[in-house]
Amino acid sequence: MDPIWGLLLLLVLFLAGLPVTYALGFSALFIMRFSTGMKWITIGQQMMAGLNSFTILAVPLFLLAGKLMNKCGVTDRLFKFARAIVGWMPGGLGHVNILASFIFAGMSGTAIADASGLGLIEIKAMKDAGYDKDFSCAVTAASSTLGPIIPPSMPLVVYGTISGTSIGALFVAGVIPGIIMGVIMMALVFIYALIRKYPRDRVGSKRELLHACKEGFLPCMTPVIILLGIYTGIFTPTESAAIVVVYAAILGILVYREINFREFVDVLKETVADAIGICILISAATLFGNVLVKAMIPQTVMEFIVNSINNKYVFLLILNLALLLVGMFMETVSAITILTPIILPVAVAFGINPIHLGIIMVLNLMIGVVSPPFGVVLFAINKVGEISFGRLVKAMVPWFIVLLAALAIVTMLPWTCTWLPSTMGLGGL
Amino acid sequence: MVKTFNKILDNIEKAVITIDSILLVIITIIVVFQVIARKLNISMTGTEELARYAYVIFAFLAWPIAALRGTDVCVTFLFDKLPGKVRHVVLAVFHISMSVFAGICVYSLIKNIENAKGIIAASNRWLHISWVYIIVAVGLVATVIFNIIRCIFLLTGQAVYVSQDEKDAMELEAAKEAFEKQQELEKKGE
Amino acid sequence: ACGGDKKETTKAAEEKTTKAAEEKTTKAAEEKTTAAGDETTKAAAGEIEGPFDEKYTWSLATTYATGTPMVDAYYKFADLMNEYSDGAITLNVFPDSSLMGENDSFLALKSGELEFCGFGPTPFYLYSEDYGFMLAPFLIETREAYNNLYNSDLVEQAKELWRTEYNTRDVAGMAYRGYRNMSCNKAINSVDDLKGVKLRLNDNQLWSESWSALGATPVPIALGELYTSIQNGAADASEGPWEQMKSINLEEVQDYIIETKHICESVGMWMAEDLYQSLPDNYKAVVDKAGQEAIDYLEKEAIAREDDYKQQLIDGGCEFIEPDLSGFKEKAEAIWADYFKSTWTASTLEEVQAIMAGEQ
Ligand code: NA
Ligand code: NA
Repeated sequence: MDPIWGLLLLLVLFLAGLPVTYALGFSALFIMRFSTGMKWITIGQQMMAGLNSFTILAVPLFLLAGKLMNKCGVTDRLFKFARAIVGWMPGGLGHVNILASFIFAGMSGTAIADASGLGLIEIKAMKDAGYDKDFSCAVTAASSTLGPIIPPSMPLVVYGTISGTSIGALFVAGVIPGIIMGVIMMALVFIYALIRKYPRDRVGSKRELLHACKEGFLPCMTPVIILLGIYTGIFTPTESAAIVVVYAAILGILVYREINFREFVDVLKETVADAIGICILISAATLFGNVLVKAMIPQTVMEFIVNSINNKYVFLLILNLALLLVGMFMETVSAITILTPIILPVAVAFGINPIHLGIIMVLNLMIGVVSPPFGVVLFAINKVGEISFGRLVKAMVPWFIVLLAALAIVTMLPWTCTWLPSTMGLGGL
Repeated sequence: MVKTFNKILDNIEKAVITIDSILLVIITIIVVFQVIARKLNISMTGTEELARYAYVIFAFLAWPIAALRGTDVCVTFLFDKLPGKVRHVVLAVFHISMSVFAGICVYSLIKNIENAKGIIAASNRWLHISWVYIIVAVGLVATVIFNIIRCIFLLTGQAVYVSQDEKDAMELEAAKEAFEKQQELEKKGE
Repeated sequence: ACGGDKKETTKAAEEKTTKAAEEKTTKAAEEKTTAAGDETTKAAAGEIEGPFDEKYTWSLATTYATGTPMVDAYYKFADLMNEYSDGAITLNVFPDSSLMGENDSFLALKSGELEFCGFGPTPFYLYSEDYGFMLAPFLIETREAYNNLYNSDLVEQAKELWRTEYNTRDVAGMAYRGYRNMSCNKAINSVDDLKGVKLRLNDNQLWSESWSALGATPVPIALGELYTSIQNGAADASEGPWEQMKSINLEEVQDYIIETKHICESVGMWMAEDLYQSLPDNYKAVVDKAGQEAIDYLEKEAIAREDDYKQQLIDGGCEFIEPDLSGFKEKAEAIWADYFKSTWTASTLEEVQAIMAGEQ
């Protein structure tokens, strides 16, 4: 049998609901059986090799930092801070919603956690201020796509590890696309505000502004610390995860005094429980990737695709459509671990920079997560905002247009992803 | 009998999570130390390697816990459409096959332990690679056992499958509670 | 453009093959008598005779990057084996760490799960710490000295151990890859200038201790982060072959390149010994012959490109310094005594020096 059937087996097992880790494991065994023969030692060796990597350490560390920050009420502080800064603009709370996601989302690892944490505060505040329910829910869902584009970002760490791309470069690469998305979304909020005459906050007094800054400024520094560390070379992205943990601990225990030792231990335990799934998934994905390479499957796939599509832009279009579809069904980290080894060689053959590809992949998968019929964030918002699914999907239409426009810009203009990292000497290729 | 057995399982889980929590703290400390040492021009070798192996141990020790509690990452939108009883039977089959896979891993790891005999880590010259493989193997032996236990529990009704919707609902409920608490606290504060 | 390049290289390869084959006859005959049986010697001398009925598909893993002389040579090795065996042997080359890392490759070789890997003399580090002097900075000064040592009876004992205990066979000896040198933001004219210089190293303990003894402060930084680390001052200096410095454009952020020639770097190919022994003699001959030619090609390419890389660094704005190396050697020598006593127990400094000078 052709080992390439292993890919089909993977799809079947994983749609049947077998945990992804094991679906990857069994397909790896299948491919070995029909290509290289059973290389028993490879199984354990590669599963360990997948985790024996310094970059992947960032996964539990970012999770821990995110949980520590949540514990000390950072979401609430952040929201107030954003409100003090952009709340006075037309459609104020809409902008606040976007800004808050920009700064903080992406550390918790699951879309549902982001949506239920930040989402609750945002939707409640918007409801109290008299915004339409469909608008508030849609902007909350749409803005949640921003988190993993701006560091810290779990999906980018995983992509970087699997593809062998510099995590620092990926973190920096996300900044411009993130800003593009943020700006376009804020423009849409602006248009809504003018048409529907949404309220805005009064311009706060200096004292109020100062107070909000004092309360909310420090947590906003997280992405800044990470980027600055990478830029100055004081610490690498992986090291920045540990620095952010210490920073979050200092904020929670010393500055805000909202976490005591007991709670700190609880947060640690929660982190362990949440990290297990992703860790073992990456372990099995490494075995799978290794077996694929040795069976020359990515090469076969690449030759097939390169021969049947000979235009880079046609390829990018098909890639985007396929990824959007995948994003609707598949959890982001699993999707990245499975698809990267197959897609990367094809993309490189078309002259696409791996950094560019990483941002495109994450962006697509994040849009998939807010797309019907299966997007998990939609389900979350549907419950958080107590809005019917149909009404939410309808309200999302303009936001899809905006998100797809941003995706098109980022896809067509590779420099939006590669210019900043290469300027900083981070291997923009 | 069943009670004591459950208690033993709970204690194993607690012990693993405690060890892992400690490992996580150690990893953080090692990495932060590495940054500081570099800044202070103290020459250091082996911190990165140490953190890596600590992380390997972290992950493989935790592996069986995911099997025991059914918290592996999976895609369940089709699976959740099945009737409740069928789900449990299918899950039981899954856990048997997962147990088999873990068993294959153990076999592979035993070969790795033999193969790595006498080989030491590149910068921590006291650390034998085979030790790490042994710990990894222990984690996977436990995974074999815990998958079978979970399978039995599912068939006897001692464990129940929680669908994604139900999980989400629970998470949401928790978030709402926390949110309301926060709101009340604020009201009191004002 | 791609197709044209390929044709050129194969043409060049053909030319080389005939030339090399002539040269090889005597050399191979001398060398092979010690390593393998007499059967192979005969075969290696001329056309290798069939039959090549058994088909083999093997893999070669390496961490060297596509485009380096090393990876070019590995592809050549694959082509030659295929050609000499009338298509019976297929070797798939996996460069850029695409299959596995360095240590994992040797572990897989040991277990027989991987057939080939392409690296320098890693087994000294992995399996024969008592031969650590082979990797010591400033100890081996010339290519000739290195060859004398590597091909000596002393090192043959280590190679024997790698074959029997670790299933790891040196396919065709080591090719010269270029000297390791330094780059720095400070002019280093003598060893005294090294004081307090933050020198980037990988996590090799021996190197770290050696450079500490010379006065530098070693900082372990991954190669991928070296450029930014130099740019923002986390490190002042680096060491490595010119080729490595050029590949990450260090000339953009460094002011000086210093020809310290502290290590004579070599590189080769490794094979699972049990596989080799299981092969029919004519297949063994194919591996030997193709291996030797690939190694010769690698060495020729590396030598040809070494000066080129250096010139590119100078053209990129680095000032070239030929430092006074006597102080470096003196200070380095001071730590050798301890090492020969504690770790490098396979030999003594006197013996090693005698072998290097060709006296043994
Ligand atoms: Na938001
Ligand atoms: Na983020």
